[in-house]
Formats: sequence, structure tokens, C-alpha cells
Amino acid sequence: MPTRNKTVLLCVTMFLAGTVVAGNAQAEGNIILEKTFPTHQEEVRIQVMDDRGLPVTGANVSVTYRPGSSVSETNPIGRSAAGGTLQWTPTAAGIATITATWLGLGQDEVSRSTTVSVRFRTAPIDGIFIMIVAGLVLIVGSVIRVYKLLRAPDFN
Amino acid sequence: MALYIVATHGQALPKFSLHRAFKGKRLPQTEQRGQWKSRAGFILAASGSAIGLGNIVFFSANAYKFGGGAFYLPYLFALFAIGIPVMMLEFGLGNITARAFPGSLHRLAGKRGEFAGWWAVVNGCFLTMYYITILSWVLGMLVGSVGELWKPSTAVPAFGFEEGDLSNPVAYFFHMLSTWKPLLFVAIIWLLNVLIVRKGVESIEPVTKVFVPLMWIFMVVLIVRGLTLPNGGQGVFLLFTPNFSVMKDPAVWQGAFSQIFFTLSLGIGTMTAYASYLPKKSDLTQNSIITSLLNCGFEYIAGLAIFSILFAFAIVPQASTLSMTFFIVPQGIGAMPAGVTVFGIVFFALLLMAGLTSSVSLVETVISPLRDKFGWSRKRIVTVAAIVGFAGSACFALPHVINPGLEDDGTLGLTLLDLIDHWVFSYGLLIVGLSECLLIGWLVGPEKIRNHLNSNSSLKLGYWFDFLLKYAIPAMILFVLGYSLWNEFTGGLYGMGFSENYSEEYRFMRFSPPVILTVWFVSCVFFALILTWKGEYADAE
Repeated sequence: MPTRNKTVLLCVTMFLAGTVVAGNAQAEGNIILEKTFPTHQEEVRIQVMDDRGLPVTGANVSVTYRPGSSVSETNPIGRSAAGGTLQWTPTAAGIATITATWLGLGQDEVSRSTTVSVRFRTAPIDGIFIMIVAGLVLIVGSVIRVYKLLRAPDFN
Repeated sequence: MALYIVATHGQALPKFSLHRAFKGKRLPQTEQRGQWKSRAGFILAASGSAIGLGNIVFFSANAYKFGGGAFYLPYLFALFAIGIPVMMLEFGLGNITARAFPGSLHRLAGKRGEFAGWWAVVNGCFLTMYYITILSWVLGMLVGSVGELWKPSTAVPAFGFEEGDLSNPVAYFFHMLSTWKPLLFVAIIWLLNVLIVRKGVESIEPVTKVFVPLMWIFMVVLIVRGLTLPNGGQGVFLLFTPNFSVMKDPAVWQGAFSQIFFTLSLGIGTMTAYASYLPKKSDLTQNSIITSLLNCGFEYIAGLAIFSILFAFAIVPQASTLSMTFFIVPQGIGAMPAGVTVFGIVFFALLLMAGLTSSVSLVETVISPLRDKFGWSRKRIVTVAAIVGFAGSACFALPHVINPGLEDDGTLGLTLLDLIDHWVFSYGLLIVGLSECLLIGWLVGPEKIRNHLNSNSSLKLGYWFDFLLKYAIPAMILFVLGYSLWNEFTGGLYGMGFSENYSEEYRFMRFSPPVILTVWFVSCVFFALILTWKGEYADAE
């Protein structure tokens, strides 16, 4: 790798943190989902393609839920069958990164990934509860205080 | 409008230097110090200072990192247990003494206090310099968002990226860094800061009265756009759905405590400087609560906008202000089906306004104490601060622009900024926060601040306030500092992990993490000592 690129790697590592790589894979369309937005606990078909657009059989496919967070979790999905397809049932809603790994022509390991948003099947009660509590404290609290501020006598 | 502040107070005062603050002596330079014209003006300026780039993009990404909705519990706890009490303390310090941070601590706690105050100011100088550099990049992106930024991705040869390697905004950002433009943008941002602070609060107040409401309007525009994207509303579920397994992780609590300290601009002296321009009979308790809630409320609604956009386009958030500002959110905006240019301009204009209202408060935090102590004219200090500040900000941007070909190590600027930010933010602010709590809690007496706060407040503080200042907040800050230091020692000094990336020719750069740490620490101590022991306050006894 040229010297210049080594130094570039530094800032890329620090600031992009994998976003670029994931973005490229998605753009090349190596991992194609039956639905753009799969739904939590609903089965969806995945197809793995190589860089030439041909289906990959026997690719190991895994999923990382909530990538880049302290609660991220990686689970295997399975191996792609003939036609490069396999079924996946998302076990968590939110953002997930799907990674497919297989042996390329030169017996080198090829890895491609894509990021998808998994829809919530139903509105999450605990999430809505926290949203309301935080909203009440912060937004309603602000509004009440600002209202009182406007009613109070000013400096002069 | 009163042109000067007379420190009068009817209470019988205990011994110690606080006595001097209350005994009715007219403070020097108050005739030139100025005063906020209205309470709303002060609240808008204080909340504008607190609401910065981090509020818009960093908070929600931090929440995502630490368990989504579960993060809100330690965050709200930290807001009420640390944020609002320290905000009250900092408002109280400025209002009691009608002086900026070092002067107020000098008046209350003598030279030791003043040293802590100047440490905060010097630390704040570093922060101001690189904050303005980041702001200059925001200005560059705003200019670019008129058109160039959203065009198909081009190659960035200076950084070794070929066409299509990066998404449009990222390519534009790196391309901008490889030119001289950031230097021009740094000059423009400094000029804007000078124009806004040139007359002190007299010129700051009208600007914040326009910018802060506009920021809320622009944010609402982004929320509406985000939520109306296909599946945008699902992003809100993602942000708030909790994963409570994180609660036992000390890193989550550390993240929440740090977040509150940083988001409210505590430990810099900004709030003390702003409060020093308040009339003596101000309701500081209510002002602290309103400022804190407005700041955190803004973070709350910003999360709705950002996460709806990220979910709609399946973009992974990163808990980094720079990544979110320049790469991740712009990627989402660039992927919008329509109105990309309009929403791009709205986003970067919002960031620019939020950044400017914060940067002027940072500049004022430097100017105000120098005027208090040395009695220099505002014009003189503003000029000196702008020249020195511009040179500093340019240092954070310069390595990118002096060598577009990057034959040398062209990433020094980012590295320098990243390294200094780590020490200034993760340690500098917290050290100041700890110092002020210990000084007031153990040396001055928290009840004295509480009495002053209660004297004009409709909401009376109880003994719990003393307990928080004396025991609880120092303990929590010590926990955060200790945990961070532990990670530093066990995981290696911050930045050392990148040493392998330097070429043989620039191998010496691998020493930059300890060198930057030393420069930061020695500078803070050295200049704080000089400023503490050089000269005396005009009203010193």
C-alpha cells in the first residue's frame, strides 16, 4: 500500500469507521433482500451475489444487530443454497448489518456486507413509554418554564 | 437599563471572602461590562451557548451506542443530579460577583480558586480554536450544499480515493480538506465571532434572539421531513426502544454523566461569564432549569429528526460529532427522494447557527475574565483573541491546506484535533467541574451559594443542594475521571493505536499522543499560573 494511502487509512479508520465499506457493498448489490424493509420476526429471502452478479452458493451469512453500539450482537443466519438464496427471520428490530463470506476464485476469502433497517412489527411499548416520559420532562418541562418566564416581570 | 451592577445584598454574611462579594462595593469595570436587556435574551443566549453541534448530531448517536431508550434513564438522572445543580452553581458564581469564572472564584476562594478558573479559560481556549475549525468546515459544507456537495461522487486523489469510493458528501468533505478553502472559512468564522462579541452582551443578545428561535424552526423542518420519509417514524422506535442489559455497564453511566457535563457547557466558565451580566436580583434557579431543559429538549427533538433519516436509509450511526456531521447525516440527506439541496442547506445552516451561538460564548468566556482582571478595552482584547485564535484554528486546519498533494502526512490536522479534543473534553471540563465543586463545597461553603440563589428565586433550594455539591457530584465526577483514566492505562494512551499507520519517514509522529497530552497539560498549568499571579483585580483588598 502506498505511503499516502497508509496515512489516509488513519483518518478513514477514525471517522468513517466502516461506513464507506458497507455503503460500497450495498451499492454493488452483493446481498439482495426480498424486501427493502424486512419486518421483525417475519421471514425474508436473502440472495448473495458475487461482484460479477452471479449467485454464490455456500456463502456463510451472518447478521449483526445494532452495529456500532455497546449492545451489538452477531448471529449466524446460515449458508446460501443453490441460487445464492437463504431465509432469514430477524430476531430484533432496528438497524442490522448482514455479512456474507465465501471463498472466491483464487481461494481467497471474500466478504461483503450490507446494512438494512428492520421494521418493528408493533409499536414497542417500552420505547413509547420512555419517549413519552423523556418528552414530558424535557419538552413539556421547557414549555411550562418558558411560559412562566414570559409571565414573570422582566429586568426593568 | 442599569449600566453597572452594584453588588448589594441585605443578608448578614459570614466570614471569608464571600463577604467582599456582598458588602455593597461597586465592582470595577461594570460600567463597561454591560447587562442583558431582558431575561428572555439571557435565556436564549445561555441556551444558544449550550446547544451546539453535539446536541444536533452527537446525543442521539450516543444514545444508540448505549442501549437506546435505556440511555435516557442515566441521562435524566445525570441532568437533575449533576447538570442543573452545577448550572445553578455556575450562574450563582457569576451573579454573586459580577465577574467571569476566574474572577468569581478568586473573590470566593482566593488564588487557588482563581487558578482553577484560569485553567478552565486556557482549556476553553483550546476548545474555542478547534471548535471554530470544525465550524469552518460546516461553513464549507453549507457553501457546497448549494450544489456541488450533492453531485455524483468524484475522486479525491489527495486522499487516495477513486471515483465512487465514497458517497458524495464524504468525497466533497475530503476534497475540501485538500484545498486552501478551510483557511478562508476559518477567517470568516472568526470574523463573524468578532462582529458578534465586539460590544459584549449588547451585540450578542440580538444575534441569539434571532438565531436560537431559527434553530428550533429549522429543526422542526428536519423532523417533519424525517418523519414523512418512508419508515422514518420507525427510526423513533429505534432511538427509544431500550436495551436494559446495558445498565450494569459502567461505561453507560460514564457516557451519561459526561454527556450532561458537555452538553450544558459546564466546566468552561461560559455560564458564569454570561450570568455575570445579569442584574443582581435574578431568578437564577429558574434560569438554570429553563436553560438546561431547553438544551436537553433540543437534543431530544434532534434525535427524532436524525434517527428518522438514518432508519429510512439504513445508515449506521456513529457516536462521533465529526462523523455524524460530515459523513453520516449528509449521506441520509443525499439519499432523500426530493429536496436534497433545500434540506442540506437547512441542516448545515442549523449547524452553523448552533455552532456560532456556542462559539461566541466561548470567545466571550476568554474575553470577559481578561477584562475583569487587567481592565483592557474590549476592542483590544477582542482583536488579540481573534488573531491568536485564528492562528490556533488554522493550525487545526492548516496541514490539510498547505499541502494538497499530501506528500507529507496530510492527516495531521484531523489527528491533532482528535487528540486535543480527547483531553480537553474528556478530562479538562471534568477537572474544572470537580475543582469548582470542591472549592465551593469544602472551602467556601455551599450554603452561601444556596442562600444567594434562594434570595431571588421562586423555587427554593434545600439542603440537598449542599449535599450534591459537597459529596455526590464530586463522587460522580471522580468516578467518570477514574473510569476514563483506568481505560487509558489498561487500553493504552489515546491515539497510540494509530501509530502503526505512520510511514517510516514520519515515524516520529507516533509520539504525537503523549506530546499533545503534555502540551495541553503544561499549557493549562503554565498559563493558569501566569494569569493567576500576574496583576491584581482593581478592587482587590
